[in-house]
Amino acid sequence: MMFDLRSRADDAHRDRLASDQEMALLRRYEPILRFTSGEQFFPVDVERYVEQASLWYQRPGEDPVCALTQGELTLETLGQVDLGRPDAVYFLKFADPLGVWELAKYRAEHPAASAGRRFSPGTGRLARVGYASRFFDAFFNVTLLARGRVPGDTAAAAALLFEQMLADGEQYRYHGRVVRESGWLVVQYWFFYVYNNWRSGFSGANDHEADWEMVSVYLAEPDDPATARANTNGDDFDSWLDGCRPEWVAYAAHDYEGDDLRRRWDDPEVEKLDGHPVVYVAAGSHACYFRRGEYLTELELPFLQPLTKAANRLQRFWHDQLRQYEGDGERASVDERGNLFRIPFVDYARGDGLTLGCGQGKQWSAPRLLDTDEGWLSAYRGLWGLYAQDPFAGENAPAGPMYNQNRTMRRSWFDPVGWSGLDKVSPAYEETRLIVAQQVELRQLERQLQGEIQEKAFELRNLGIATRAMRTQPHLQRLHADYQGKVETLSEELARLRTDLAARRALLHTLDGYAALLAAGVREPPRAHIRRALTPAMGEPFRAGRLAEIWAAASIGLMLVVLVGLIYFARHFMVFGLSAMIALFAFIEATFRGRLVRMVTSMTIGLAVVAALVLVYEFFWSIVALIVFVIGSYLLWDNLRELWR
Amino acid sequence: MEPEMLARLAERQAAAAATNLGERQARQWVIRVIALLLVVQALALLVVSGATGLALNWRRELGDIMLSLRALDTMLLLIVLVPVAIFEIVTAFGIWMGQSSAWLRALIIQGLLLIYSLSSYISGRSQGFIYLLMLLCIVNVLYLNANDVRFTFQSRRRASRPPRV
Repeated sequence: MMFDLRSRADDAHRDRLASDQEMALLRRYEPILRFTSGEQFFPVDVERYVEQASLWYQRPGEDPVCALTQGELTLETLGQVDLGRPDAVYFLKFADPLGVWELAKYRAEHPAASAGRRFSPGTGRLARVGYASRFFDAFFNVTLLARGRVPGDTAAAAALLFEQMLADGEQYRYHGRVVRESGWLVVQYWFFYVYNNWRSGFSGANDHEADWEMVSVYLAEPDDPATARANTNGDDFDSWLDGCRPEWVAYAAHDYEGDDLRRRWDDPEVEKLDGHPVVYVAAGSHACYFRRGEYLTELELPFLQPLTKAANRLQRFWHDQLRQYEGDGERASVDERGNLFRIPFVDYARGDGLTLGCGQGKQWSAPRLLDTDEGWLSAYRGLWGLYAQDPFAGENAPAGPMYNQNRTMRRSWFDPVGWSGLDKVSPAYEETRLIVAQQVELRQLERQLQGEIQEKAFELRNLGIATRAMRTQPHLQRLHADYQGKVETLSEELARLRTDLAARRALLHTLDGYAALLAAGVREPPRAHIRRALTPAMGEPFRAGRLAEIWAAASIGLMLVVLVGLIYFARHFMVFGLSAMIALFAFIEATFRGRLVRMVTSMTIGLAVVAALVLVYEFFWSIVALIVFVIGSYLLWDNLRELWR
Repeated sequence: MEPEMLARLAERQAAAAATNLGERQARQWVIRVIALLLVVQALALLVVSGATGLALNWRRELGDIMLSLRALDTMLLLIVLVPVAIFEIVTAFGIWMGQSSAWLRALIIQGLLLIYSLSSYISGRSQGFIYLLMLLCIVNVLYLNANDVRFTFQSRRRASRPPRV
């Protein structure tokens, strides 16, 4: 029975809706996007972007070569490009960096844009985290000088081009597709932005040309897929459409995937306007969020992962083994959660800027359907913007909706259900059937196991009789030993079978209860699947406002300057100087944060750890001897005590 | 109310009272141990100060034009350790009396003593007793920072704060 259901789901995966039906579905649930004030780029049609761009390729160690110039490149020609050079990176180039005069003119004409139009960052991102994160942030900024990155004035050039694009015809468009997978009808909305100016505009992690973002709505069809297929092929499409129920929705944010991206349609966090989900788009990065707010996004550099793991282990040992203080749960800071080696960036998804969508200030134009028959979508596997030669890939443009930067298939495209962790959840109509199928299978297995147990138990009893009969017969000693071995083996097997049977009965019982709950319309809480939801950062109160933020921004640089001063002018007092500097910096920081008690505690613990290391260094063998002596004495006392009992 | 229910209620109240009593006794025990550890450490400091001070021939030192390096070290030791020892005894008394701020004072004392010990060690003026002092400080810091102890004093501090209006 289970096989039957699976095969039906696979059949369903293969069939497709007609274009007008896909369009109707897309328009019914198209999201409403709320942007942050200061955002300069909005979703547009890829065709307009491609017509403004040129196609390039670059081999390792060689200069980039233009394959199709602006004017030659269209969606059609892009789909016909010969990607025959496997060692080359193919990419589009949208904006040429501005010259000095052009940039000066742009800044003069857009005074607010250069400082982030109508955008105020609020509490600085560095003021939200501790020293370790600030140090790694400084390191990350220094690496930007060495590794490839998008030139600083490209954002201005892209903004100018985008303004011109809107002036030629203000149209906002998304790209969409509808796909059936694992019993779900997935309606995907792909948003294309010509530029991601998160770093240059909003102190984020990266800038790159072209940006693809996505929102998926998961619908349960009114009946099983086979009937649905019949309905969608017939005349009663409208009634079928009305019967489709949105059950889940997932918003893409950076490279995250899994359960935490997904919300149930009835979750209060999913804001809806006339049946359209509302998306809060982060400024510059265009990551999608369910709630308005400022999200602390942490970037972990791959080579720092071993350090993070070691720090986490140490913390676990400190708290679990030594039973040391763990903090106040909710109030535990970012550093306390073991995020010491991550770089903080803020995603500003305030929703106080332009709103785009059905019944809003700006409306969507008719969407473009994503059809894999179109070459620009399926045949072109190159990047959709400038290839900045960044080894971390953050500054390189992304590939199209179907592919990753390394030309492999994008999971959110080929497995939209698995991408959001929905592959373990079935639509309600299928869930009941799957439960019944499991129950039938389990009952069958239960009967089989019972028969096997009866058979083995009978065999065991017979073996037991024979073994007992042979016990007093010396001439049958070898056979007796053989039988005893068989009895032991069979007993173990029987015990295993009975354990298995008990477990299966318990599962069956649980399934019965779950089926009853489902029949009564009881569902699990909407947020039961979420482990670590992205939530807007509250921001720790940072006293003295602006002064404290200036301190947060300047502290690491100042520390390095003082260090150089110590090396040059007071090398003999290096240890004392360093200790005094660290203590002073920690004191100032703690004062700003109102955490003097915590600072005193941390410092004292740090000193105690250093003192412990000194003791181990000075008295290593004595400590080893003492430990052995204590263990020996304990064993002696324990064993003698047992004798005297 | 039915007699059965009344009996059950009484049982529950008795169990809760027993739990509270058990917790209170455990907290009292925690407080006494800390106070005792602090007193032991303070006494050790006073003994070390006294022994070091008495080991020096002060008449000869004061008769010379300049104090010897050893005399200067001893003076530094007395200036640091004796006030700290007295402060520690006062803190131990405060802990015994259940003062919520005494926990922080005790931790600051451990920090000061560790700074003194480590700076003596780094500058090469290490006398034998600083290792013992380090060991006592480590034990005290670990104990003061243990979950149970922190919760005992935190709950006191919260209770002593006026409620927000």
